[in-house]
Amino acid sequence: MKPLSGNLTDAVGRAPVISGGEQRLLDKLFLGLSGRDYLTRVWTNPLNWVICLILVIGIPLLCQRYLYGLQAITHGSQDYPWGVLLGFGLFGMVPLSASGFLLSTTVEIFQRDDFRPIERLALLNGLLGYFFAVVFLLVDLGMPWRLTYPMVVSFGPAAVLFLVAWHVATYLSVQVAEILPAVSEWAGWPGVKRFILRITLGLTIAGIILSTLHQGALGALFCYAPAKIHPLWISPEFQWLHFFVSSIFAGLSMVIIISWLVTKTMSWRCDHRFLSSLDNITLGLAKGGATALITYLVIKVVAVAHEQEWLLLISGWGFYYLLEIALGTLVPLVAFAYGVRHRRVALVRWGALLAVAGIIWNRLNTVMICYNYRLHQEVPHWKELWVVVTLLCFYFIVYRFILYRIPVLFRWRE
Amino acid sequence: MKTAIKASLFALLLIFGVGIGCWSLLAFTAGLKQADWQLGELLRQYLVATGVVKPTHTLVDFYSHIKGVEYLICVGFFVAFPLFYKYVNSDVKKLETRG
Repeated sequence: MKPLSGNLTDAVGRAPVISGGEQRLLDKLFLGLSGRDYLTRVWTNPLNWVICLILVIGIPLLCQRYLYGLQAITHGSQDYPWGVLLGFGLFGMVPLSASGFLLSTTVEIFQRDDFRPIERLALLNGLLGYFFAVVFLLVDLGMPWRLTYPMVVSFGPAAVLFLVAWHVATYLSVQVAEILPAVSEWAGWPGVKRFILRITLGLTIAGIILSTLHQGALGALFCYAPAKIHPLWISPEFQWLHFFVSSIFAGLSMVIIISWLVTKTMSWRCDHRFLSSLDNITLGLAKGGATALITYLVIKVVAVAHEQEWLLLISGWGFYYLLEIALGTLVPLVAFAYGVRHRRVALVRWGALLAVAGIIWNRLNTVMICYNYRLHQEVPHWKELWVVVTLLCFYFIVYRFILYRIPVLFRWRE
Repeated sequence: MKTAIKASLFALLLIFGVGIGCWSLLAFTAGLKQADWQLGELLRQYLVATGVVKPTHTLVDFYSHIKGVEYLICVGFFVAFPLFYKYVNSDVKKLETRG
Protein backbone atom coordinates (compact mmCIF):
# COMPACT_ATOMS: atom_id res chain seq x y z
CA MET A 1 0.00 0.00 0.00
CA LYS A 2 1.57 3.26 -1.08
CA PRO A 3 -1.27 5.71 -0.84
CA LEU A 4 0.65 8.90 -0.29
CA SER A 5 4.12 8.16 -1.44
CA GLY A 6 4.03 9.93 -4.76
CA ASN A 7 5.58 13.35 -5.12
CA LEU A 8 6.14 14.07 -1.47
CA THR A 9 9.83 14.83 -1.51
CA ASP A 10 9.31 18.03 0.40
CA ALA A 11 6.81 16.67 2.83
CA VAL A 12 9.04 13.77 3.79
CA GLY A 13 11.10 15.21 6.55
CA ARG A 14 10.81 18.86 5.67
CA ALA A 15 8.05 21.35 5.27
CA PRO A 16 8.03 22.92 1.82
CA VAL A 17 9.25 26.47 1.79
CA ILE A 18 6.21 28.40 0.73
CA SER A 19 5.38 31.86 1.88
CA GLY A 20 2.26 32.28 3.95
CA GLY A 21 1.66 30.49 7.28
CA GLU A 22 -1.72 29.07 6.31
CA GLN A 23 -0.46 27.52 3.09
CA ARG A 24 2.49 26.03 4.98
CA LEU A 25 0.14 24.42 7.51
CA LEU A 26 -2.07 23.01 4.77
CA ASP A 27 0.99 21.57 3.05
CA LYS A 28 2.01 19.88 6.26
CA LEU A 29 -1.47 18.51 6.84
CA PHE A 30 -2.00 17.33 3.26
CA LEU A 31 1.59 16.11 2.89
CA GLY A 32 2.37 18.58 0.13
CA LEU A 33 -0.66 17.59 -1.97
CA SER A 34 -3.64 19.70 -2.87
CA GLY A 35 -6.81 19.01 -0.88
CA ARG A 36 -8.42 17.35 -3.88
CA ASP A 37 -5.40 15.11 -4.60
CA TYR A 38 -5.17 14.16 -0.96
CA LEU A 39 -8.84 13.16 -0.78
CA THR A 40 -8.52 11.21 -4.03
CA ARG A 41 -5.65 9.22 -2.59
CA VAL A 42 -7.54 8.65 0.64
CA TRP A 43 -10.57 7.26 -1.21
CA THR A 44 -8.55 5.05 -3.50
CA ASN A 45 -7.14 3.16 -0.55
CA PRO A 46 -9.39 0.09 0.04
CA LEU A 47 -8.41 -0.06 3.72
CA ASN A 48 -10.11 3.30 4.25
CA TRP A 49 -13.33 1.86 2.84
CA VAL A 50 -13.21 -0.98 5.36
CA ILE A 51 -12.61 1.53 8.16
CA CYS A 52 -15.48 3.64 6.86
CA LEU A 53 -17.82 0.66 6.88
CA ILE A 54 -16.88 -0.16 10.49
CA LEU A 55 -17.39 3.46 11.57
CA VAL A 56 -20.76 3.76 9.82
CA ILE A 57 -22.13 1.07 12.14
CA GLY A 58 -19.85 1.80 15.12
CA ILE A 59 -20.54 5.50 15.61
CA PRO A 60 -24.34 5.03 15.97
CA LEU A 61 -23.59 2.23 18.45
CA LEU A 62 -21.42 4.63 20.44
CA CYS A 63 -24.29 7.16 20.43
CA GLN A 64 -26.65 4.39 21.57
CA ARG A 65 -24.30 3.61 24.46
CA TYR A 66 -24.32 7.24 25.65
CA LEU A 67 -28.06 7.74 25.14
CA TYR A 68 -29.39 4.48 26.56
CA GLY A 69 -26.63 3.35 28.89
CA LEU A 70 -24.10 0.55 28.97
CA GLN A 71 -26.76 -2.17 29.02
CA ALA A 72 -27.79 -1.18 25.49
CA ILE A 73 -24.56 -2.49 24.00
CA THR A 74 -23.07 -4.89 26.57
CA HIS A 75 -24.05 -7.91 28.64
CA GLY A 76 -22.47 -6.26 31.69
CA SER A 77 -23.99 -7.25 35.02
CA GLN A 78 -23.20 -7.26 38.71
CA ASP A 79 -21.58 -10.67 38.15
CA TYR A 80 -19.50 -9.51 35.19
CA PRO A 81 -18.87 -5.79 35.58
CA TRP A 82 -15.92 -5.71 33.19
CA GLY A 83 -16.42 -6.72 29.59
CA VAL A 84 -14.24 -6.56 26.49
CA LEU A 85 -14.22 -2.76 26.64
CA LEU A 86 -12.08 -2.85 29.78
CA GLY A 87 -10.69 -6.38 29.51
CA PHE A 88 -9.12 -5.61 26.15
CA GLY A 89 -9.22 -1.83 25.94
CA LEU A 90 -7.81 -0.97 29.34
CA PHE A 91 -6.15 -4.08 30.79
CA GLY A 92 -4.84 -5.25 27.42
CA MET A 93 -3.73 -1.92 25.96
CA VAL A 94 -1.84 -0.67 29.02
CA PRO A 95 0.84 -3.40 29.13
CA LEU A 96 1.33 -3.02 25.37
CA SER A 97 2.01 0.65 25.98
CA ALA A 98 4.92 0.06 28.32
CA SER A 99 7.18 0.61 25.32
CA GLY A 100 7.48 4.33 26.07
CA PHE A 101 9.19 4.13 29.41
CA LEU A 102 11.23 1.07 28.40
CA LEU A 103 12.84 2.67 25.36
CA SER A 104 13.23 6.12 26.92
CA THR A 105 15.04 4.43 29.83
CA THR A 106 17.23 2.47 27.42
CA VAL A 107 18.20 5.53 25.40
CA GLU A 108 18.17 8.39 27.89
CA ILE A 109 19.33 6.65 31.08
CA PHE A 110 21.48 3.79 29.79
CA GLN A 111 22.69 5.87 26.82
CA ARG A 112 22.09 3.08 24.31
CA ASP A 113 22.22 5.24 21.21
CA ASP A 114 21.80 2.20 18.98
CA PHE A 115 18.11 2.18 20.01
CA ARG A 116 17.61 5.89 19.31
CA PRO A 117 16.04 5.39 15.83
CA ILE A 118 13.10 3.57 17.41
CA GLU A 119 12.75 5.66 20.57
CA ARG A 120 10.14 8.03 19.21
CA LEU A 121 8.06 5.20 17.78
CA ALA A 122 8.10 3.53 21.20
CA LEU A 123 7.12 6.80 22.88
CA LEU A 124 4.28 7.36 20.42
CA ASN A 125 3.08 3.78 20.86
CA GLY A 126 3.07 4.30 24.62
CA LEU A 127 1.25 7.62 24.41
CA LEU A 128 -1.46 6.41 22.03
CA GLY A 129 -1.88 3.13 23.91
CA TYR A 130 -2.49 4.94 27.17
CA PHE A 131 -4.65 7.59 25.57
CA PHE A 132 -6.91 5.03 23.96
CA ALA A 133 -7.00 2.97 27.15
CA VAL A 134 -8.52 6.09 28.73
CA VAL A 135 -10.91 6.40 25.76
CA PHE A 136 -12.03 2.78 26.30
CA LEU A 137 -12.48 3.61 29.99
CA LEU A 138 -14.52 6.70 29.10
CA VAL A 139 -16.85 4.66 26.91
CA ASP A 140 -17.28 2.16 29.73
CA LEU A 141 -17.80 4.80 32.43
CA GLY A 142 -20.17 6.85 30.33
CA MET A 143 -19.77 10.01 32.36
CA PRO A 144 -16.59 11.73 31.18
CA TRP A 145 -17.17 14.74 33.39
CA ARG A 146 -16.63 12.48 36.42
CA LEU A 147 -13.18 11.42 35.25
CA THR A 148 -11.66 14.24 37.27
CA TYR A 149 -13.30 13.10 40.52
CA PRO A 150 -10.22 11.29 41.89
CA MET A 151 -8.12 14.34 40.98
CA VAL A 152 -10.04 17.22 42.50
CA VAL A 153 -13.43 16.26 43.94
CA SER A 154 -13.12 13.04 45.89
CA PHE A 155 -9.61 11.67 46.30
CA GLY A 156 -10.25 8.27 47.86
CA PRO A 157 -6.54 7.55 48.49
CA ALA A 158 -7.30 4.18 50.10
CA ALA A 159 -8.41 2.76 46.74
CA VAL A 160 -6.10 1.15 44.22
CA LEU A 161 -8.14 2.89 41.52
CA PHE A 162 -7.03 6.22 42.99
CA LEU A 163 -3.44 5.16 42.39
CA VAL A 164 -4.23 3.96 38.88
CA ALA A 165 -6.17 7.12 37.96
CA TRP A 166 -3.44 9.47 39.17
CA HIS A 167 -0.64 7.49 37.62
CA VAL A 168 -2.33 7.20 34.24
CA ALA A 169 -3.17 10.91 34.23
CA THR A 170 0.30 12.05 35.24
CA TYR A 171 2.06 9.52 33.02
CA LEU A 172 -0.04 10.59 30.04
CA SER A 173 1.13 14.16 30.69
CA VAL A 174 4.74 12.96 30.86
CA GLN A 175 4.33 11.06 27.60
CA VAL A 176 2.80 14.08 25.86
CA ALA A 177 5.87 16.07 27.00
CA GLU A 178 8.22 13.33 25.81
CA ILE A 179 6.77 13.32 22.30
CA LEU A 180 6.67 17.14 22.14
CA PRO A 181 10.16 17.50 20.58
CA ALA A 182 8.91 15.59 17.53
CA VAL A 183 5.71 17.64 17.37
CA SER A 184 7.61 20.90 17.81
CA GLU A 185 9.93 20.02 14.91
CA TRP A 186 6.88 19.50 12.72
CA ALA A 187 5.06 22.59 13.99
CA GLY A 188 8.14 24.80 14.01
CA TRP A 189 8.39 25.49 17.75
CA PRO A 190 12.14 25.37 18.45
CA GLY A 191 11.72 26.91 21.92
CA VAL A 192 9.44 24.10 23.07
CA LYS A 193 11.91 21.49 21.82
CA ARG A 194 14.83 23.14 23.61
CA PHE A 195 12.86 23.29 26.86
CA ILE A 196 11.76 19.63 26.69
CA LEU A 197 15.29 18.45 25.84
CA ARG A 198 16.55 20.19 28.98
CA ILE A 199 14.14 18.24 31.19
CA THR A 200 14.30 14.92 29.31
CA LEU A 201 16.15 13.11 32.10
CA GLY A 202 13.57 14.23 34.67
CA LEU A 203 10.72 13.19 32.39
CA THR A 204 12.28 9.77 31.83
CA ILE A 205 12.74 9.15 35.55
CA ALA A 206 9.16 10.31 36.20
CA GLY A 207 8.03 7.92 33.45
CA ILE A 208 9.82 4.99 35.07
CA ILE A 209 8.33 5.68 38.49
CA LEU A 210 4.79 6.30 37.28
CA SER A 211 4.69 3.49 34.76
CA THR A 212 6.16 0.75 36.96
CA LEU A 213 3.88 1.71 39.82
CA HIS A 214 0.66 1.75 37.89
CA GLN A 215 1.39 -1.36 35.79
CA GLY A 216 1.66 -3.11 39.14
CA ALA A 217 -1.34 -1.25 40.52
CA LEU A 218 -3.53 -2.58 37.68
CA GLY A 219 -2.64 -6.07 38.89
CA ALA A 220 -3.27 -5.12 42.49
CA LEU A 221 -6.75 -4.04 41.43
CA PHE A 222 -7.74 -7.70 41.21
CA CYS A 223 -7.01 -8.15 44.91
CA TYR A 224 -10.39 -6.48 45.46
CA ALA A 225 -12.09 -9.71 44.42
CA PRO A 226 -9.59 -12.52 45.00
CA ALA A 227 -12.25 -15.16 45.62
CA LYS A 228 -14.05 -14.50 42.33
CA ILE A 229 -11.06 -15.12 40.06
CA HIS A 230 -9.77 -18.62 39.49
CA PRO A 231 -6.83 -19.15 41.91
CA LEU A 232 -4.40 -19.81 39.06
CA TRP A 233 -4.98 -16.31 37.66
CA ILE A 234 -4.86 -14.48 40.98
CA SER A 235 -2.04 -14.51 43.45
CA PRO A 236 -2.43 -11.59 45.86
CA GLU A 237 1.26 -11.51 46.82
CA PHE A 238 2.54 -11.67 43.25
CA GLN A 239 -0.22 -10.12 41.14
CA TRP A 240 1.42 -6.69 40.90
CA LEU A 241 4.72 -8.32 39.96
CA HIS A 242 3.10 -10.49 37.28
CA PHE A 243 1.46 -7.45 35.72
CA PHE A 244 4.61 -5.37 35.89
CA VAL A 245 7.04 -7.99 34.50
CA SER A 246 4.60 -9.03 31.77
CA SER A 247 4.30 -5.40 30.69
CA ILE A 248 8.05 -5.37 29.94
CA PHE A 249 7.97 -8.05 27.27
CA ALA A 250 4.53 -6.91 26.10
CA GLY A 251 5.79 -3.36 25.47
CA LEU A 252 8.93 -4.57 23.73
CA SER A 253 6.98 -7.04 21.59
CA MET A 254 4.50 -4.34 20.59
CA VAL A 255 7.34 -2.11 19.35
CA ILE A 256 8.76 -5.02 17.37
CA ILE A 257 5.39 -5.57 15.68
CA ILE A 258 4.62 -1.90 15.04
CA SER A 259 8.08 -1.27 13.55
CA TRP A 260 7.60 -4.34 11.36
CA LEU A 261 4.19 -3.09 10.17
CA VAL A 262 5.45 0.40 9.35
CA THR A 263 8.27 -0.99 7.23
CA LYS A 264 5.72 -3.09 5.35
CA THR A 265 3.04 -0.43 4.90
CA MET A 266 4.80 2.96 4.95
CA SER A 267 8.44 2.39 4.16
CA TRP A 268 8.38 5.64 2.13
CA ARG A 269 7.99 7.46 5.45
CA CYS A 270 10.98 5.76 7.11
CA ASP A 271 14.44 7.17 6.62
CA HIS A 272 17.59 5.18 5.91
CA ARG A 273 18.74 5.36 9.52
CA PHE A 274 15.52 3.68 10.68
CA LEU A 275 15.36 1.03 7.96
CA SER A 276 19.02 0.06 8.08
CA SER A 277 19.16 -0.35 11.85
CA LEU A 278 15.77 -2.00 12.34
CA ASP A 279 16.92 -5.63 12.21
CA ASN A 280 19.60 -5.09 14.84
CA ILE A 281 17.19 -3.09 16.98
CA THR A 282 14.58 -5.86 16.68
CA LEU A 283 17.11 -8.43 17.88
CA GLY A 284 18.13 -6.11 20.72
CA LEU A 285 14.52 -5.68 21.81
CA ALA A 286 14.04 -9.44 21.63
CA LYS A 287 17.01 -9.94 23.97
CA GLY A 288 15.29 -7.76 26.54
CA GLY A 289 11.99 -9.50 25.88
CA ALA A 290 13.55 -12.94 26.36
CA THR A 291 15.01 -12.08 29.78
CA ALA A 292 11.68 -10.56 30.85
CA LEU A 293 9.81 -13.64 29.60
CA ILE A 294 11.96 -16.12 31.52
CA THR A 295 11.63 -14.01 34.67
CA TYR A 296 7.86 -13.87 34.21
CA LEU A 297 7.70 -17.62 33.69
CA VAL A 298 9.62 -18.30 36.89
CA ILE A 299 7.58 -15.93 39.06
CA LYS A 300 4.42 -17.57 37.71
CA VAL A 301 5.77 -20.94 38.89
CA VAL A 302 6.78 -19.39 42.23
CA ALA A 303 3.21 -18.06 42.61
CA VAL A 304 1.80 -21.55 42.02
CA ALA A 305 4.20 -22.92 44.64
CA HIS A 306 3.41 -20.13 47.08
CA GLU A 307 -0.33 -20.78 46.90
CA GLN A 308 0.23 -24.56 46.82
CA GLU A 309 -1.85 -24.84 43.66
CA TRP A 310 -0.08 -27.77 42.01
CA LEU A 311 -3.16 -29.96 42.05
CA LEU A 312 -5.18 -27.24 40.31
CA LEU A 313 -2.82 -27.55 37.37
CA ILE A 314 -4.13 -31.00 36.57
CA SER A 315 -7.74 -29.88 36.33
CA GLY A 316 -9.51 -28.56 33.21
CA TRP A 317 -8.81 -24.94 34.21
CA GLY A 318 -5.23 -26.00 34.94
CA PHE A 319 -4.72 -27.34 31.43
CA TYR A 320 -6.22 -24.10 30.07
CA TYR A 321 -3.76 -22.17 32.25
CA LEU A 322 -0.86 -24.28 31.02
CA LEU A 323 -1.99 -23.70 27.43
CA GLU A 324 -1.93 -19.95 28.03
CA ILE A 325 1.54 -20.18 29.55
CA ALA A 326 2.82 -22.43 26.75
CA LEU A 327 1.49 -20.38 23.83
CA GLY A 328 1.76 -16.91 25.34
CA THR A 329 5.05 -17.24 27.22
CA LEU A 330 7.03 -20.38 26.46
CA VAL A 331 6.79 -20.30 22.65
CA PRO A 332 7.69 -16.57 22.42
CA LEU A 333 10.54 -17.22 24.87
CA VAL A 334 11.99 -19.95 22.64
CA ALA A 335 11.37 -17.86 19.50
CA PHE A 336 13.15 -14.84 21.00
CA ALA A 337 16.11 -16.80 22.40
CA TYR A 338 16.64 -18.92 19.28
CA GLY A 339 15.94 -15.98 16.97
CA VAL A 340 18.43 -13.70 18.70
CA ARG A 341 21.16 -16.33 18.86
CA HIS A 342 20.76 -17.32 15.22
CA ARG A 343 19.83 -13.80 14.03
CA ARG A 344 16.44 -14.89 12.70
CA VAL A 345 14.57 -11.59 12.67
CA ALA A 346 11.40 -13.05 11.13
CA LEU A 347 11.19 -15.66 13.90
CA VAL A 348 11.58 -12.92 16.50
CA ARG A 349 8.72 -10.97 14.92
CA TRP A 350 6.38 -13.96 14.94
CA GLY A 351 7.40 -14.57 18.56
CA ALA A 352 6.54 -10.95 19.37
CA LEU A 353 3.13 -11.40 17.75
CA LEU A 354 2.48 -14.43 19.93
CA ALA A 355 3.68 -12.60 23.04
CA VAL A 356 1.29 -9.71 22.38
CA ALA A 357 -1.59 -12.11 21.73
CA GLY A 358 -0.62 -14.02 24.88
CA ILE A 359 -0.67 -10.96 27.08
CA ILE A 360 -4.09 -9.87 25.76
CA TRP A 361 -5.33 -13.43 26.33
CA ASN A 362 -3.97 -13.36 29.89
CA ARG A 363 -5.74 -10.09 30.68
CA LEU A 364 -9.02 -11.31 29.13
CA ASN A 365 -8.72 -14.49 31.19
CA THR A 366 -8.17 -12.54 34.39
CA VAL A 367 -10.90 -9.97 33.73
CA MET A 368 -13.59 -12.07 32.07
CA ILE A 369 -13.06 -15.73 31.30
CA CYS A 370 -11.71 -16.88 34.66
CA TYR A 371 -13.66 -14.24 36.55
CA ASN A 372 -16.62 -15.74 38.38
CA TYR A 373 -15.54 -19.06 36.97
CA ARG A 374 -18.04 -20.89 39.13
CA LEU A 375 -20.94 -18.98 37.55
CA HIS A 376 -22.15 -18.81 33.96
CA GLN A 377 -19.69 -17.64 31.34
CA GLU A 378 -20.31 -14.16 29.98
CA VAL A 379 -20.51 -13.95 26.21
CA PRO A 380 -19.92 -10.39 24.98
CA HIS A 381 -22.69 -8.63 23.06
CA TRP A 382 -21.88 -8.18 19.37
CA LYS A 383 -22.43 -4.45 19.77
CA GLU A 384 -19.74 -4.30 22.45
CA LEU A 385 -17.32 -6.10 20.14
CA TRP A 386 -18.22 -3.73 17.32
CA VAL A 387 -17.62 -0.70 19.54
CA VAL A 388 -14.21 -2.13 20.50
CA VAL A 389 -13.33 -2.53 16.81
CA THR A 390 -14.63 1.00 16.14
CA LEU A 391 -12.37 2.44 18.81
CA LEU A 392 -9.47 0.41 17.41
CA CYS A 393 -10.19 2.01 14.03
CA PHE A 394 -9.93 5.46 15.61
CA TYR A 395 -6.67 4.31 17.22
CA PHE A 396 -5.39 3.20 13.83
CA ILE A 397 -6.46 6.44 12.11
CA VAL A 398 -4.75 8.63 14.71
CA TYR A 399 -1.63 6.43 14.73
CA ARG A 400 -1.35 6.60 10.92
CA PHE A 401 -2.12 10.34 10.82
CA ILE A 402 0.74 11.06 13.22
CA LEU A 403 3.24 8.67 11.61
CA TYR A 404 2.61 10.23 8.18
CA ARG A 405 3.40 13.71 9.46
CA ILE A 406 5.38 13.95 12.69
CA PRO A 407 9.09 13.00 12.49
CA VAL A 408 8.87 9.67 14.27
CA LEU A 409 10.26 7.34 11.62
CA PHE A 410 12.56 9.91 10.07
CA ARG A 411 14.78 12.81 11.06
CA TRP A 412 13.44 16.28 10.46
CA ARG A 413 15.56 18.31 8.09
CA GLU A 414 15.49 21.98 9.04
CA MET B 1 42.02 -41.12 15.20
CA LYS B 2 40.29 -38.09 16.67
CA THR B 3 37.31 -38.57 14.34
CA ALA B 4 37.06 -42.22 15.31
CA ILE B 5 36.97 -41.36 19.02
CA LYS B 6 34.32 -38.72 18.34
CA ALA B 7 32.24 -41.20 16.34
CA SER B 8 32.44 -43.85 19.09
CA LEU B 9 31.55 -41.25 21.73
CA PHE B 10 28.57 -40.16 19.65
CA ALA B 11 27.47 -43.79 19.20
CA LEU B 12 27.82 -44.41 22.95
CA LEU B 13 25.78 -41.31 23.76
CA LEU B 14 23.18 -42.34 21.19
CA ILE B 15 22.85 -45.82 22.70
CA PHE B 16 22.62 -44.33 26.19
CA GLY B 17 20.03 -41.79 25.03
CA VAL B 18 17.93 -44.41 23.29
CA GLY B 19 18.13 -46.63 26.40
CA ILE B 20 17.01 -43.81 28.69
CA GLY B 21 14.29 -42.85 26.22
CA CYS B 22 12.94 -46.42 26.04
CA TRP B 23 13.04 -46.75 29.81
CA SER B 24 11.19 -43.41 30.25
CA LEU B 25 8.57 -44.37 27.68
CA LEU B 26 8.07 -47.73 29.33
CA ALA B 27 7.83 -46.20 32.82
CA PHE B 28 5.42 -43.57 31.54
CA THR B 29 3.21 -46.10 29.76
CA ALA B 30 3.21 -48.42 32.76
CA GLY B 31 2.39 -45.50 35.04
CA LEU B 32 -0.47 -44.46 32.78
CA LYS B 33 -1.85 -47.99 32.75
CA GLN B 34 -1.70 -48.09 36.56
CA ALA B 35 -3.55 -44.77 36.67
CA ASP B 36 -6.27 -46.19 34.43
CA TRP B 37 -4.93 -44.19 31.46
CA GLN B 38 -5.68 -40.86 33.15
CA LEU B 39 -2.90 -38.34 32.59
CA GLY B 40 -4.18 -36.05 35.36
CA GLU B 41 -4.14 -38.88 37.89
CA LEU B 42 -0.62 -39.87 36.86
CA LEU B 43 0.56 -36.29 37.30
CA ARG B 44 -1.13 -36.14 40.73
CA GLN B 45 0.61 -39.31 41.80
CA TYR B 46 3.90 -37.91 40.55
CA LEU B 47 3.45 -34.67 42.50
CA VAL B 48 2.62 -36.64 45.65
CA ALA B 49 5.52 -39.06 45.12
CA THR B 50 8.05 -36.24 44.68
CA GLY B 51 6.74 -34.46 47.78
CA VAL B 52 5.59 -31.34 45.96
CA VAL B 53 2.07 -32.01 47.19
CA LYS B 54 1.61 -33.30 50.72
CA PRO B 55 -0.95 -32.86 53.45
CA THR B 56 -0.14 -30.11 55.93
CA HIS B 57 -1.76 -29.81 59.33
CA THR B 58 -0.52 -26.52 60.72
CA LEU B 59 0.27 -23.09 59.33
CA VAL B 60 3.93 -23.61 60.22
CA ASP B 61 3.93 -26.87 58.22
CA PHE B 62 2.29 -25.12 55.28
CA TYR B 63 4.75 -22.23 55.21
CA SER B 64 7.77 -24.49 55.76
CA HIS B 65 6.63 -26.58 52.82
CA ILE B 66 5.89 -23.78 50.34
CA LYS B 67 9.05 -21.90 51.29
CA GLY B 68 11.07 -25.06 50.70
CA VAL B 69 9.58 -25.54 47.24
CA GLU B 70 10.02 -21.84 46.40
CA TYR B 71 13.63 -22.05 47.56
CA LEU B 72 14.30 -24.93 45.18
CA ILE B 73 12.69 -23.02 42.29
CA CYS B 74 14.79 -19.94 43.06
CA VAL B 75 18.03 -21.95 43.29
CA GLY B 76 17.16 -23.50 39.94
CA PHE B 77 16.55 -20.03 38.50
CA PHE B 78 19.84 -18.69 39.84
CA VAL B 79 21.58 -21.42 37.86
CA ALA B 80 19.32 -21.27 34.80
CA PHE B 81 19.23 -17.50 34.35
CA PRO B 82 22.99 -16.91 33.82
CA LEU B 83 23.07 -19.86 31.42
CA PHE B 84 20.09 -18.48 29.53
CA TYR B 85 21.61 -15.00 29.53
CA LYS B 86 24.83 -16.38 28.10
CA TYR B 87 22.91 -18.33 25.49
CA VAL B 88 20.96 -15.27 24.34
CA ASN B 89 23.94 -12.92 24.36
CA SER B 90 26.32 -15.01 22.31
CA ASP B 91 25.76 -15.27 18.58
CA VAL B 92 26.40 -18.59 16.93
CA LYS B 93 29.83 -18.39 15.30
CA LYS B 94 29.78 -18.92 11.58
CA LEU B 95 31.60 -22.05 10.49
CA GLU B 96 34.62 -21.44 8.33
CA THR B 97 35.99 -24.02 5.97
CA ARG B 98 39.57 -24.03 4.82
CA GLY B 99 39.65 -23.76 1.10
